Amino acid sequence: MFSKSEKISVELLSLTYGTFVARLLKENDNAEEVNLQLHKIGSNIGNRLIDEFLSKSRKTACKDFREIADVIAKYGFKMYLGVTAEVAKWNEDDTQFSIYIENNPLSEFVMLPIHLQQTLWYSNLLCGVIKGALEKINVMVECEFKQDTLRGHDSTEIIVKLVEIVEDRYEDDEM
Amino acid sequence: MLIFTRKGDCIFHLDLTEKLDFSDTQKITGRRKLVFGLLLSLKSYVKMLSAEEFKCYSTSCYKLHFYELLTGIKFVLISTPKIAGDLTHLLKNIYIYQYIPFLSKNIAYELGTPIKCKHFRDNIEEELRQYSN
Repeated sequence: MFSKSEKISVELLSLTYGTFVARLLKENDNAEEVNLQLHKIGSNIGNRLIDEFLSKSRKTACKDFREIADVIAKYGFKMYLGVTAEVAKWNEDDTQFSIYIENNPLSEFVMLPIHLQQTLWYSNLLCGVIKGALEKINVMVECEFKQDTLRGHDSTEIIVKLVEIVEDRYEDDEM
Repeated sequence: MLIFTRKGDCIFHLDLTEKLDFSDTQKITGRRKLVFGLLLSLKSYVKMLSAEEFKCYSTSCYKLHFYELLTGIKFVLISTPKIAGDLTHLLKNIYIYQYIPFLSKNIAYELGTPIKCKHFRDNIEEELRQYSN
């Protein structure tokens, strides 16, 4: 299923993403602003990407949040980044988990300057994508980076927190 | 053929019979609302009866085919009752080969707004004509 899809080289991806982030840094005053921008852009990407993902992966509706997590890590990351991610650290009522990415292709060849190391979440786009994609299938989540190897942490970790699963509602209107 | 969003807005309406008068907006919106309402009721009704998904139904004068996505987009096709089986596979193909490349991946198209893409319309028309012959 993954072999059929189009591929681009990791180098191209990481370099393009790098210039993209650099550009955003130039246009915005501070790194927090860039984090927000990346999140927003990612969310727009996610909104669209989910259609393609569902049709290509031939996935049907997931039973619960655990299955959703698995699909994101095993299929989502594999399909769009070529790596698989690990799901871990579930909280007690199954509404929060962490995704560990071992070799994040976006941050390949990247070194953050010292003044950005504590503020910029370089791959924040990914959080946006996850949020945006899930939003389209009525699953509202909050998604943020906890750790990033670029900041000197041991691993790259994204936290995904379930807000609610929305039921379809329809409103009457006058004819 | 009609496409609805999750909220029930009709974003695409194509009529091959050429009997509909699109200038009469009130009648057209009324008609769209009726179809959408019908789908919702039918869907919940079918859900009560069986675990199978609702795909199509037919009457003596028309047949309605229905394909819904997890993202809430609904494809509806109304055809003559002569067509055998359901055409959900056709709607699915339209989704994969027309909707995704021309709309989902098209930054000029804002998701959930009426579809004006000419290419999309033409392709669908062509595809549907093949079936009506």
